[in-house]
Order: sequence, then structure tokens, then C-alpha cells
Amino acid sequence: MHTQIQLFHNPQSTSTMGTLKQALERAHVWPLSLPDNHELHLLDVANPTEQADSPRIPDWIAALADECIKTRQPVYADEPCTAGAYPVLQAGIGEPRSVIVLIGPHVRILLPPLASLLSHISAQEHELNESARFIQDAFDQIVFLLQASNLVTSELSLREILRQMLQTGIGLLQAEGGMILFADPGESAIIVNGGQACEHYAGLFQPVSTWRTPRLYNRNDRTGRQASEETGPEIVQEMARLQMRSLAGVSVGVEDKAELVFILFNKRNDIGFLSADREMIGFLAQQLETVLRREKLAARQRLEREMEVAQEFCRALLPSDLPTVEACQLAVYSEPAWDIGGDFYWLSKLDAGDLLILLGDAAGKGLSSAFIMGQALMTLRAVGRIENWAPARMLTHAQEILVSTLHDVDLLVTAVIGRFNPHTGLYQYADAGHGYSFVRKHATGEVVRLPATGIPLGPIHYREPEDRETYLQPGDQLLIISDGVVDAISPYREVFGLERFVGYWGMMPFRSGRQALSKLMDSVWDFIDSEHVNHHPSQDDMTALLLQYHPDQAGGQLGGQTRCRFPGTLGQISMFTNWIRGVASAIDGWSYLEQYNFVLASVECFTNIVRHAYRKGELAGEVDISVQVVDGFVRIAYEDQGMPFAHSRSLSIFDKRPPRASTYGGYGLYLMEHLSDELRYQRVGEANRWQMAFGCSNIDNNSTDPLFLNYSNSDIRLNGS
Amino acid sequence: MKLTIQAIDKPEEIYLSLRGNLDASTANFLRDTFRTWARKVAGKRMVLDLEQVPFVDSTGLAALVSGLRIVQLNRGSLALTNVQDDVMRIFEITCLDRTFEFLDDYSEHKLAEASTLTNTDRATWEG
Repeated sequence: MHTQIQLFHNPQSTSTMGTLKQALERAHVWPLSLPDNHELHLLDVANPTEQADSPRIPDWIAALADECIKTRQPVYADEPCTAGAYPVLQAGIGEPRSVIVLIGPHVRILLPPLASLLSHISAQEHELNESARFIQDAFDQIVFLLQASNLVTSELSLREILRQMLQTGIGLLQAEGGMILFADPGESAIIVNGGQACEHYAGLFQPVSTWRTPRLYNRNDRTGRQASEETGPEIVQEMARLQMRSLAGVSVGVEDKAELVFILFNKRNDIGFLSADREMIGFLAQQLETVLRREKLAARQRLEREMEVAQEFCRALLPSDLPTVEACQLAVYSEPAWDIGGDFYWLSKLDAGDLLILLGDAAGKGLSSAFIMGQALMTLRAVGRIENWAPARMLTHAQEILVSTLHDVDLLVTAVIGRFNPHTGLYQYADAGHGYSFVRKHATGEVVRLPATGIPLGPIHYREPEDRETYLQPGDQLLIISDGVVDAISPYREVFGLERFVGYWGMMPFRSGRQALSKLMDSVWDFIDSEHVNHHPSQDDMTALLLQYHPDQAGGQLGGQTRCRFPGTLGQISMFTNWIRGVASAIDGWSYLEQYNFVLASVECFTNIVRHAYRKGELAGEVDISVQVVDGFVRIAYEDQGMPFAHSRSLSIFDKRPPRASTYGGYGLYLMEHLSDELRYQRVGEANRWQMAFGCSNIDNNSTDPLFLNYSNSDIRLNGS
Repeated sequence: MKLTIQAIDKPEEIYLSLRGNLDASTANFLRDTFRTWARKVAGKRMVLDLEQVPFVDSTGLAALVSGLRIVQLNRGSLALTNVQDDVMRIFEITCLDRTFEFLDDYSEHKLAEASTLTNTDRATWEG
């Protein structure tokens, strides 16, 4: 149904609506621009010549207006269609100077505030010529009222709407015989946020905040009693306490969370709220939800812009070029988190020809973390250049500076600082609580972790870390990462984990430092599954810094090999599983199924050793594991010092048939046998040796690991041809 | 990786949703869970939802076989549902796919009202 707004002029009034219309036109407010399916007319009954572009006013409407002027009260008609007449009083008092008549579906809610607005305009009629801005504001309010009844699309933010309503004193809208109450916690009165705002109405807002569809309560009639029985007495009691006869309410929310409560109460007539009111309040709630959604989106966009600025700030502090150092290849990977994590790094060549290596992480997120990260990086860069200072002393000096300059800030910075001599391969370092430094031995594929040597910078009880040193051999790689790399989370909430990282990096065929780092980080991103996750709100910064010593001497080994030791306890099984998963995914050319079979059989073997050789951890010992790609097979070998394998009894199960379902054991050996191409067991002195081989289309290589040697015809070969 | 089990006890069915790996470090917890529910399983079907179980090894398998036995001894039945492809493979290799009942198209349960059990918090749920 179209809404028509017609203005009638009271012939007794001294002002003319013609003047008002002219003022509106000068302010480019009139004619109001509305969507195509609406009609709006301004009519001056005192001067019929101005009505040329408007339809003739039907007699019943003229009668309605006359009655309104006479009684000075609002008058409504439901036949032949819904309409209402409202006296427009100058400044709300005195004789009515004019009458506003509104025709349309939402007359009862739109008419009173419109009348109030016109009354306001009317009071300031003499200023209209000078104050186009006022008219514009007034127009905005009219548009809002139309928007609120879902007639036009809103471009205003909710807060702006509230501000305008409060300014003009129509925050408390006088609806027909009732009131729309808005409460805003920020404004101390009016639209209610989650029921927390207005203490006076708190008991009322709480139930209403769960109403997703509008509900009506009329205390004094039959309908009201039925409704109150449906939902319990709370709301009715509250209404009685607040002396409310009738109430219509609905929650307004975004993403199922109630943000506002929208309530009309105390309808003046005895009928109370009707289903038509329910429809109207539903429209208003929908419109408010649209406005709220837009406002939330705008807030998020503002936050994103701020984060971009902070990210740029962080990037600007990091080195743009890597130094060139003799006998070293350097590679860096840095991916800041969306919400700024605080990773930092620095590489520079010192005067003596040494390389300064620095990597750290300021705890926290967001702008404050970016600021602390900047301070920490600048301080550590400066102390790092002091010749003849040991790394631990540098960290301690940085601690003193940071704590004295950022004394009111919660400061927690992990950092590793080191100095590498390219002539001797000596790497001296100190590690304040970071603990993610690793050396990968070129000769064996073994990954050695360089643990933290002290606690993070920041706390009062800080104490100086120890200095440590290690020598890199030609071809070895030194890798320092931030915790974001190992804490990467998959879409299934699984954590990448240190063991998987060590397994992957250890097994990866030796490549140049840059290629190795790139492949390593690809595997992390595959795990995160970036294609399925646009934003990674839970993903921390990821930083990795790699130094390859004498890269020219790292060639020739293409297949990959690694080894690792695990304590033989039940608690280590999940660690081993993650490690072997990392190993499996680093093997080129394997299908997912081949990887899976390898992982499952390898876990079975490890579990077997822990449960039987080490009797579920009752006997102390380690399991030494070595993996190699050799002769077209991936071979995995285990050595432990536990109880010998009782093969004479167990061999009976290797008859190519699975164990009976009535038994609870035997599946492990069966799976090892079934999933591998070759399974061998050997008792050598006090040690047990297990070896499995899995077909692999990858490049052949020669074995160099002693675990793979010395198998003879006396081995117990458990499968294969 | 710890194992978490959420349970819903309904008149005709006990629904257990598992999350985590089923291996030697969690198998005993699963066995204990079966023992705990054994008293209530008579005449009911117990459904194990393995949708969030990415890895099962032989000890996990043995715990399931043991659970099947416990349930059957207590005059109940056991069915598995939403088994991941990888995990299904181990049932096939060991021919246990013929021993267990697998439910297809088993509708999702709302777990809002389910009680949560974890193997790191056993005392709580046993109590």
C-alpha cells in the first residue's frame, strides 16, 4: 500500500503552509525523493491553486481533518483505508495552526512523530528562509521515520539516528496512545543494549531480549492472560511493577545475538496491542538489524585498516635485503598475522666479518605488540653491534634498556641472538626463552635442537642466560623459527607441532637453503589449508630464518634421510606419530595412501617396542629411529635395548590372515607385516632391531646409516619374497 | 593428542562422540568408557561416532573389539558411524569391517546437552 502524507492548513491559523512548502523547496527537501512505489503530496487547503499537482482530497479526509482541528486531538479512521489526522501545535502548545493527515499502513506509528516534527518546524517558520540546514536535518528525520518503517533503505548509522532523535526530543516517540522506548547505554537513556542499560527496566528487557519474533502482552484482557500463561509470570509481574497495561516487544540482533530490545508499551486505548502492531514492530526491528549489521561491518573495516597500517609499520622495521656473507646462503620467511603477532628478526654483517643473527617474538597481539616489537628490535640491533660482547651480555643489556623505557608495559619478549663465524663454522648464541633453533646435520639428516639458555626478557626476576656454542659442518643448516610455525592449526583444530616439523625438515631431501625453506613453509600452509580458510584469525605470525653453511657442499644427496630418538614410553606415542607424519609428508612422489600405510605401520612398530620391549615404559630406554630413501624403497629402522622379541610364539600369526575378531591382540604385527613390503627383526647383542621397507618411486640412494647394515641370512625375515 | 568423549544417554540408544586419536595412549580410556556404560547398555544400541577420529592403530582397534565384547555380554549392540576413509582402511585390512556394524547416513546429534569426558579428566566423569 502507498503512503500518502498530506498537509492541511487551518484557515484560522496566521501561518501558511505555502510558506513552509517554499522553504522546503529552497532547501531542496521538497519533493521528497522516495522509491518508485510511494506517493507523497503537500497540500495547502487555504490556497487551492497550489494543489494543482496533487489529487483532490476526498471528503472523508477533509472531514477527518476538520474533526481534528475542532477537538485538538488525534483522530483516526480505518475506512475506506487507514488514515489519521494530528494537530500540529506551535512548540507543542496553543491552538492548532495546522493538521497533518497521513494515509497508509503505518499511520499510527508514523503520524505522531511527524506531527511533532512539523510542530517544531512550524515554531521556527520565520527562520526557515535563513536556515536550510535545519530543514535538511528535519528531512533526515522524516527519512529515518520512513526508513524505520522499512520504506526506504537507510544510509545512516544507528548512532547517528539516535543522535538526531535525541537532539530533537523525539527519542521518546509518542506513539498512538503509547510510547516507543529506545535506550542506549552510551547515551544513558533510550534503545536498550542486551538488557543491561536502564536499571529501571532491566527486569523487562531480559525476557524481551530472547524474543526473535514480536510478542504482545495486554494485561487486562483475555488475550493477555493467555499469553502470560505461555511464558511464565515474570514479564507480567514486571509490567505490573512498572505500571504497564500493555506491551509489544522484540529483540534486535545480529548473528543470533541480541543487541537491542525494542519495546512499545502502555497503549492508551483499552484494546491493547493488536496483530497489526506486531507487524509494524517487526518491520522496525528488521530495519534496525540492517543498520546494525552495516555498522558492525564498518567497524570491522576500520579495524582492518588500522591493522594494515600496523603491519606496514612492522614490515618497515625488518631488513629489506639480506647481507651477503662468505660461505653462507641465507633465506628468510616472514608472514605477519592478521592481528599482528610481534615476530621480528635481523641479519647483518659485522665489521669482523661475522654474521649477526637475531630472531624474537614480543608476546601479545595487535598494536601494542607491534610497538613493543619495534622497541625490542631496535634495542637488540644496537646491542648486537657491540664487538667483543658475548650474546648473553647483549640480551641482558637489552633487558635493562627495555624495562627502563617501557616500565609500565607488560613486557615479555623471547629472543635468540647469535654470531656466526663463516671461517670456522662457530655459532655462538644465547637464547632468552625462545627455544626454536635447530641444526640439521648434513651427514645424517639428524635435527638437533638448540634449547633456550634463559628466560624471556621482561620479567623482574630476569636473569642472564647462558652462552652456548656449536660448530656447523659444511652443508649443515641452521634454522630459527617463531612459535607460529609449530603452532599452526589445521581446519580440524590439530596443531602442526614441533615433532611434525622436525620430522618434515629432517627428512626433506637436501636442497639449497632457499628451496628448503620455501618447501618447508609450503608444507605448513598445506597443513593450515589456506584454500579453505580466508582469514586465519587464530594463526600467529610465522617467521623462519635459515642459514646454510657451504651450500656448494650439500649437493649429491637427493633421496633424504633422517633419524631421531624417542624415550620408550606410552606418552611418546603421539609425539612419534606426529614426527613420522612429518617424515612421510617430506618424501617426494608418494601418494597419500602410501604415506598413510607407512605412518600406520611405523606407529605400530614403535608401539610394539614400547609395550613389549620396554613393557609399557616400566623399563627405561630409548628408541633410535632412522629413515632413509634407498634402493627405491623407504626404509625405516628401529633399535632399542629392551626385552627381546618372542618371535617363536609370535611368528604363528604371520600367516597372511588377520587375527580372529575374538582376540584383542596381534593386530599390530599383522598390520606391520601387511602394510610393508619387507619386515625384518634381528637381535644384536642386547639390542632389538626392526626394519621395514616400503615401495617408493623416488630416486635411489645409497645407505650410509649403520642401522641399515649388517643384516644377514640369519635375520628373521617376516614377509616379502 | 588427548581423546575426548561426549555422551548422550537416550532411552533406546547411547550415543558417544569421540574426538582424537585411538592409539596406545588413549585405548585404556576408551576401554574404561565401555566398562562405565556397560551397566546401562542392556537392550540398547551404543553408537560410536568416529567423525573426529583421524587415526586408529592396532591398540585402538583392540579397544574397540574389547568394547564390542563388553557391550554384547551386557546384552546391548554396538555400531560405528561417520568413520573416516583412512580409519575405515584399517578395519578392512584386518577384516574387522565384517565384525562391526557401520551406520550410513546417521543423522548428526546436537551435543549441547551432552556430558564431556576426557582421558585427562577421568576422575570427574567416573565420579
